[in-house]
Amino acid sequence: MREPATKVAFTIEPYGNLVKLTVTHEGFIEGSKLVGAISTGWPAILSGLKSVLETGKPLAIPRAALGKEELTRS
Amino acid sequence: MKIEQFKPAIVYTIYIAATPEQVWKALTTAEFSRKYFSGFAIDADLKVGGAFIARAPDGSEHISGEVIECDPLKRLTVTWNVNWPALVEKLGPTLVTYEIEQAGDTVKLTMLQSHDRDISDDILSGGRAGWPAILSSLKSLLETGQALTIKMAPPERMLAALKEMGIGTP
Repeated sequence: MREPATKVAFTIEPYGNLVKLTVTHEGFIEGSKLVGAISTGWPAILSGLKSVLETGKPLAIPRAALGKEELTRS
Repeated sequence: MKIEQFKPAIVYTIYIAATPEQVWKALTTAEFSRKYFSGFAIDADLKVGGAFIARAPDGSEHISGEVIECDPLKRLTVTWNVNWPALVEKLGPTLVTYEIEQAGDTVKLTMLQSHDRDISDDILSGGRAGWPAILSSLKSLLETGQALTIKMAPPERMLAALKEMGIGTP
């Protein structure tokens, strides 16, 4: 079953020389099969974003670490 | 204290381009913690039952805890009891667990803040704001050599809720 679309909000707040980035992701149905995998995914994506901006280098996080197979639509 | 009665109330995961050794050292030594944790010095006796202390820059013990689980380079659980009058009495002990997992050339660090009872969102707001700042700064320190200087406003919502419960706050 395809799950309905969900809403992601990015909030960017300046903090002196820094930025506080807050991501909220909402609108998952009860018993969603996607929410678990998505919860696993965001820390990896946002950690990678931070590394790219601060060091110029992406993070090499192996797909296996993210349990990517869970993302397959059922 | 029965550890199985504690449930995570705050979970924060961050990936760091570092080794498990570096992350473990950053979490458990004053040399690193002073740089990413607002000047606080962690002093940890890394064995079950050992003391886990965070000293404020003025030398006072801000957090007095005990090591509950210690699997070097992999997992550390401590009681994270802030020394404010009546806090532990009213809220019960706070547990903090760090899990360190190798993920390719990076490390996945997960922090879990757990309690043995329901804690209000007002009180949890302090940790929800604080942990991302502390752990983001730790990541920057290990990846760039420089921690973040985060000018955070005091956690007013948490402080007001604690005061309401009769807990002493600074």
